[in-house]
Amino acid sequence: MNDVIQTFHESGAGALFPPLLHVPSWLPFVLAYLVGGGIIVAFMAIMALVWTYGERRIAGFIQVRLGPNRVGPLGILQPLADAIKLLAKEDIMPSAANWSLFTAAPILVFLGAMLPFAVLPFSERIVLTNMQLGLYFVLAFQAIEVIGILMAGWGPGSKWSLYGGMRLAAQMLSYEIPMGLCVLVVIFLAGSLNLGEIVAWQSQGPWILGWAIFRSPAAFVAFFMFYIAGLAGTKRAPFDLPEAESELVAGYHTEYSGLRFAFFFMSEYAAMYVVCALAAILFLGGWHGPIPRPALPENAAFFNAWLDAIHAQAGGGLSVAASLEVFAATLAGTAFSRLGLTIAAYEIVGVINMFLKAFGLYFVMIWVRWTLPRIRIDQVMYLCLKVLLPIGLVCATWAAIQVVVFP
Amino acid sequence: MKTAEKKNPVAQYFADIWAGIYTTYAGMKITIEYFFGKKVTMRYPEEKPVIPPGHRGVHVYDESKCTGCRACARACPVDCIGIDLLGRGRDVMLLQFDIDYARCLFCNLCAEACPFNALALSEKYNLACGSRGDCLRHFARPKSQEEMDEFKALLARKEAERKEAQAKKEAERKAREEAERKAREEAERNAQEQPEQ
Repeated sequence: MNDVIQTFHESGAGALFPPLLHVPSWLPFVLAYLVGGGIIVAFMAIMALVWTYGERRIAGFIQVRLGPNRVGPLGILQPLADAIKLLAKEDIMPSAANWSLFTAAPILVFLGAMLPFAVLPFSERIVLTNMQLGLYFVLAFQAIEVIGILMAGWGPGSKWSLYGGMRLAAQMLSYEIPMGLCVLVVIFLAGSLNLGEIVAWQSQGPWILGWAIFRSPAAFVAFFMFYIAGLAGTKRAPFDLPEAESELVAGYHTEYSGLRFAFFFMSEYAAMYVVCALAAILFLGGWHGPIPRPALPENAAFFNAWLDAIHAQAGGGLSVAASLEVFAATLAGTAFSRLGLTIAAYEIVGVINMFLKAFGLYFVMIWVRWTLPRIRIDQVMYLCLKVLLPIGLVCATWAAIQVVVFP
Repeated sequence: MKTAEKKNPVAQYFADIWAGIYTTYAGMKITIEYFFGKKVTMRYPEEKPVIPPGHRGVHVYDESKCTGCRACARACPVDCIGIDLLGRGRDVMLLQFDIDYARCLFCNLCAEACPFNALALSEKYNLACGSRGDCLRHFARPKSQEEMDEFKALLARKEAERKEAQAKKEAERKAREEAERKAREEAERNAQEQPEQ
């Protein structure tokens, strides 16, 4: 990502307007990452719309009805109508509310839900930051949400909010432990915390047998436990007792309305996407499809090829027009070269694979939600501490032994 | 007799986990069958329901058979039929035949009461209305002013004919009475004359 920005700044924007080369070197990076972050937030907003529609439709089908099918063809404009309704709602703050906590909570929760996207790859090269500690970063910053939710529980001064906030904080913190153990299995096997490297490790193998769940029985069990812990961490049914409608109205976001509620709503869907995408990346081979793809030549990065093309053509002392021409010509030339098209095709197929896996896991989330009844808080804790934790420890130990004994 | 067995706690632990996995599997199998199964929802305006015969819906009314006898209105338990007539007896013109569907309970008593089979309940069911006034349905053909004037003229003519006939009858009766009286007077006079003889 960094060399891409560097190249674009020096050979693209610099060629268009030479004084840009004299701005401080951090500025293009900040701007590029802001644009990238904006794209991801916009993507998540659209994703939340699509997923609410999917959820309502699938829920309807499971309950032998049709779900929303009136607004637009097959009802696909229904989430848009809901979003407009949500934006038009009055923003109410209870008179007993603690102003600062009440205002800060949605922002903090949203931040916690969005930060994992900084390192979460959509495909091999479509990733904002390919961080060495990517997996650790995702798990660490998901926990920021807990603070925001405690603030949302305390801030409005309502008993429903407080109960919901406390329940969710307890649930999220307890399920971090089995989730971490399941992730540890993959870390042991892959020998890396970098999400890209974990997926690259899963590409070694015939067909789908390279995926982590088929590489070790420990990973196979860990996948299901990771998914259950993810359900609890994103408060999906049957672990939805933080917002249990029948007892707590809506839990910690009872007192929120309008845009503030929309922030909670979006962060919930973003967290769900993070869990599904993480499960796909860690256990299901990420952006690799079930059919093995032909290997790319060594060191085949699109922007490396482009960089070489620019350096080969652009000598010193070109005019603005000439350097612009070189920039455009090399960009077009590289993009439509065989290598460029292959890379583009790989990335598109990778994104489709990734989304298919994430949507498949999301479908199972909804399927579970409309199958299982909500469980009690003591059952939630029993499942976490007495079932997932010991089995997670066994799995992690197995993985460690497997790595040492069968390297 | 079966008593609660004291199981080995370790065995119980694994049995519980297995029960959890198995029941989840069983439940999810059921729901996915429903997911792919046929849905019961009917997309109403696009697909219409099949109405069973004998359904009692909106009235059908045949104005040509109706005599305005008000039998239906008298039979109605909720008083929802309003009839307005021009004229009396057999020479009537129906100005209004209204049914208030906000009140009507589709009991079919009006149709049973009708001696001329002018009223029946059909299988039409879409009766939604936006206001109380919309629920009042007018069944009679609206009559124009000329028609009403013509009918009034007809009524007046008939009335005049009737009066003329009555007057004629009266005159006849009077003439007959006069003749009788004259005959009686004649007889009396004859009787008075008789004793003198």
